[in-house]
Amino acid sequence: MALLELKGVTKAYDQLKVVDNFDLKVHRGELRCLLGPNGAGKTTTIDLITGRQKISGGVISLEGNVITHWPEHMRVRAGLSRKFQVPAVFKGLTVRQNLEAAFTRHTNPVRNMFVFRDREARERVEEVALRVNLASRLGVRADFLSHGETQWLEIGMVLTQNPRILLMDEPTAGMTVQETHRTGEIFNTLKGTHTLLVVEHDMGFVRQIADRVTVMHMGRFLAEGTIEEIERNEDVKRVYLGGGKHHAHA
Amino acid sequence: MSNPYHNPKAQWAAYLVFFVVLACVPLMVENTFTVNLLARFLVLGMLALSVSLVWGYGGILSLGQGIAFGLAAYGMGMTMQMQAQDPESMPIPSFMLTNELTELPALWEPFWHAPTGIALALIVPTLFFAALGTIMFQARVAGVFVAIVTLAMLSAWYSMAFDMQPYTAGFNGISPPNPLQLGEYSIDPYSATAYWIALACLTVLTLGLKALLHSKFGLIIQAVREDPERARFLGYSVAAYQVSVFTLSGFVAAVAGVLWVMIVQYVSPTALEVSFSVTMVIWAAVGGRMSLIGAIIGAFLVNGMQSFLGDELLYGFLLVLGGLFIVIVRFLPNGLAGLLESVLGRFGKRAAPSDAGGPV
Repeated sequence: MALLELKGVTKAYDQLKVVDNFDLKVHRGELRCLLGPNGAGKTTTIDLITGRQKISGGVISLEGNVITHWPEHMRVRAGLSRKFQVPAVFKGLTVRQNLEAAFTRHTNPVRNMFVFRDREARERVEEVALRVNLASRLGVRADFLSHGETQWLEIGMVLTQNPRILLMDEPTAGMTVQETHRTGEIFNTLKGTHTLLVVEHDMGFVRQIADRVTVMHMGRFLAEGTIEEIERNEDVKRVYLGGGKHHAHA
Repeated sequence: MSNPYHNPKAQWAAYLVFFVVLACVPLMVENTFTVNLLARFLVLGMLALSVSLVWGYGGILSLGQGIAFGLAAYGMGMTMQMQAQDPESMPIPSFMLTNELTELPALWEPFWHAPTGIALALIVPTLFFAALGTIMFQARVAGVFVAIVTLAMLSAWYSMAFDMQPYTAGFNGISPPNPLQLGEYSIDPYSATAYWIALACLTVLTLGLKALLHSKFGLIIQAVREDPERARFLGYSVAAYQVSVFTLSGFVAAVAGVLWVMIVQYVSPTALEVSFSVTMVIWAAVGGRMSLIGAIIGAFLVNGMQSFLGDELLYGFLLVLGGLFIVIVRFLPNGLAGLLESVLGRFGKRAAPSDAGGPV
């Protein structure tokens, strides 16, 4: 059984279908990339999976539970965790506080009034900080971080949650080449133990990390396969890779 | 290496010193009028405390803190008024007689019993905040719209208190003839006892909230302030946290309302005036809304200035207040506490980016 399954997922604004009858199966331990030119419906798909936008049709299931109409925070509690396209961190709080906030063993406000020094949270925060290269930055306020570090912090927050599946919307947007490469290394250490669905533009990055790639175009499924298969696929070449296939910012 | 401002031990020490100094004040002040004035400041400080919690930490700009304050003040006013009535000889307050009521309204009945009356004065406003908060935050009302909703609600309560003359004595307000009776004791508003009662409440609430802000709950309400959507996508019910912090702030303002009437022995619709609730926000902004103690000191400073300059300048003082607010917002967005933070930061080693810490 797939960990995450989308069947006939559709999002329409009046006549315009941004996501059109889209199917997707992500299996446990897999790192799947979701590729497609601008406007293909990638971010909208992530929004529908996480409940940020209301779905127009279709079914989404997580480990066999149909979550199509669940509120956002319930989906997160069921094991979905998301990184946003524009990095979303708590800017006025320190790196440590950001990661501690992401440690969500308890989410009830009244219960949390009595949670003080949580040793487990502290250990998890330090472990994650090492993983995302922020161990020396724990005391720094998030608004003093560089753009790349901010992206890592949000990746770290998603990791702290230890979710069933991590949804990453353009995790390398705005990163330098070195930062992107380092991010690829982080992702590669997660393979096997974590399940990831990554929306990406950067083909170099996709080559570095992807097991399988799904390509969307105009809200529809276009192709799926290994990165080599995708790069050979005629349909994909036509709509997306075009001539220059190295940096396909459409 | 780090800023002492962010050192939790230094913070607790500062809080302790602050309250000990306040406790000693009546020993040094002879004039009972001054003691009463200072006790009033303590209560106003408590209102700034509630604003700091809800706005500074919760990021919810409520202009309706006066609702909880005013409702609680009326509850206390009714309680103290009924202490002066006698079931046999004088069962209803005289203002009701002049408004042609012949029987005590059912609304007033529970206030025969003072402990019940005081309990109601605290519980009703708190529940009202819980209900209003639930309605607003479930619907994801945020930012300036919260300010508008709370302001409108406040005006509605003001009109009610004003118009329901037979029940509230309208514009004149309720002035209980005697001080609060607690069992054997009568709490003279001009005594040091009244001051110390107010201070004890302020101390307990401030230290309690400070501890609360160091809990996971405190961290999450700040996270919600910074980015509600991110918090939601970490699995938190943003509305539940906002309702909790809003309700708590309502309770703090309600305690202030009860104490206020104990100290001034009077309640009128002015407690529910819009301008009063807006000035509470100014006190917190001046002292520093991100610091509980800062907000309290802000209330002391502004009201102290008003007591001394207000007599000279009369309404001109409002210009001073407005000007002060503009200067603070422009140059010291975190108020005087923020100023202290940057000064202490310079004393600490010139370490690279400042090591910001927990709640203050």
